[in-house]
Amino acid sequence: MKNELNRLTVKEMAQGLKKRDFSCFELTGAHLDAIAKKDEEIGAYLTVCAENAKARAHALDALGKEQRASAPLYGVPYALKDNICTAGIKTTCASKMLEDFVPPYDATVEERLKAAGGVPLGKTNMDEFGMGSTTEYSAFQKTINPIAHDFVPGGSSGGSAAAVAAYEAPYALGSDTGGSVRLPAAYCGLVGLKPSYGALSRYGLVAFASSLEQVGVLSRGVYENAAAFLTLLGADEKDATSCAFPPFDLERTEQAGVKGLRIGLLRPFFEKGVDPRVATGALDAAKTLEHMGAQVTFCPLAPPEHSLAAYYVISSAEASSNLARFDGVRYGKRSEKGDSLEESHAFSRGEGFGKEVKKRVLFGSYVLSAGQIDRYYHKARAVAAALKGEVTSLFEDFDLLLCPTAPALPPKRGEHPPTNAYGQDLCTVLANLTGLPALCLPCGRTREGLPLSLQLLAPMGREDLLYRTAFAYEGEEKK
Amino acid sequence: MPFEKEEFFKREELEKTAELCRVFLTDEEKQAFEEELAPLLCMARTLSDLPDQGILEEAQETGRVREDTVKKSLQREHLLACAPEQSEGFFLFSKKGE
Repeated sequence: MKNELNRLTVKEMAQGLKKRDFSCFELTGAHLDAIAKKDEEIGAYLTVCAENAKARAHALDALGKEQRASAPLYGVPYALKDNICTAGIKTTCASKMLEDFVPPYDATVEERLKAAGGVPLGKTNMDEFGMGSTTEYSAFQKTINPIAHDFVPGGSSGGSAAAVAAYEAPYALGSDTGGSVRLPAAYCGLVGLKPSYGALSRYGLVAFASSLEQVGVLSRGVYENAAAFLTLLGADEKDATSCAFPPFDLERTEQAGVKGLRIGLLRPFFEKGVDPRVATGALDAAKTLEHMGAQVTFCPLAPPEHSLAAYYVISSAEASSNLARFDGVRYGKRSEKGDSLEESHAFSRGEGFGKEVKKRVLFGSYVLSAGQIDRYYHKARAVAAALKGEVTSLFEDFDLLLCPTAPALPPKRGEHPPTNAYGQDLCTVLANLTGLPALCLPCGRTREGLPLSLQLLAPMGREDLLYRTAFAYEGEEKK
Repeated sequence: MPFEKEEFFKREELEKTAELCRVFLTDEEKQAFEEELAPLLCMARTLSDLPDQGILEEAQETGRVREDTVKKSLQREHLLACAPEQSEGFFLFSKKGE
């Protein structure tokens, strides 16, 4: 049985550890064995911290009962996306620019998970600097979808999703700028959370688009997703954009049910441009919630095409600014070429950044340039502000909003044209542009076995409503 | 091909932008990016026809600021250890010029 510890639910893992049915060392070992057996094929991890994980697990086992934290994830291992800083462990953002970068500090989210008794297993693959929807833009390796090997795992947190779906980690952290947690969660049949903007600290998350992104959680079940969120929740003085959103009671939320909840179906995401199989999957899930006592009706929303355009303008503009720090002087790759400081910067960045990152930096610089900023960037901010107002008014009539997580099924590996790649974020950017929390969860599979996923959005700071609905739906699906 | 030639990035605009953001591009990259930036540019152009309403309100949003006090931070030697080159407590840049 101990060889299969990695296949237990996280709740069973936590209970087993508490009752001492097995040790943290054995649980960690089961995951490291799974990584050793499967990850050469899956490609989820860029760095595996086997010795560190074993040492930490051993130290946690050695603590007396009174010294052990009562946290729900005490002793449970996890994986981290490789754009979350880890003291003494490489953090590459899947970029040649940071190939040898070893941060001198932990991100706040990593500090909090470790303080709650977590065991980090390693760092996962991603699209370079978070720019992509397939994890094919990693500078180092490809990751395959463990559910359907010919398909991409989604991105940019595709390594985190693949690690969890392949039982190489019980849960994982990712980051979500325009859908980078939810899209891979959807494509790999997982639960994925993009928290309210400011709910979790971004200190130590390598910045891509600061006004849009949040650290998020990927998991096989709702319980550990909620438990990890509660562990990470809270303001951080090192991140001025973090806020003190109130926590919720996990057990009570698990039992609350959906009776009386008013759920609005975002009509544009069920219409043209969305694969009918994906739309039907989300509609069927909505019907299930209706049968369980929720009130479900359609509601309007502005055309999503403008939101997608606003997202790419804002995220690229912020990326061009955030990535300006990579100049090969203070850290990162330095080119051997160039006769002046400016030339050295340009060659270092030319050699260090991959193709997609260069495109976004160029596009971001262009939309911020003096002749274009009013035409593009200011318009994009206005679209985001209008969208926020529109969605806020929807929450006067609805407790939650529902739509598919992605407009299409996962693309095959190596086959996606860039236009489709940008379009994959159609349903997810809404939460990033408005700052709202969003949770995706699996809602069945197609005849070909590809996962379907629904997405729920809630008002700011109301992750409890997301989890309440997700717990109820997950429970119903297990019946 | 999904995009028309007139929707491509113009070469001189591309070169000027690359210089502005200090990214060296090879000739092959320049040629590829003229076309490959078209999807992003076409998406962005859908915004330029929208009315200006809301721009000022959005621009007025402000963030929270921290108290201006000295606190314990990362150690100098740990930060310097991340640099490609360092010497005597400074980041080292040994190229010609500045």
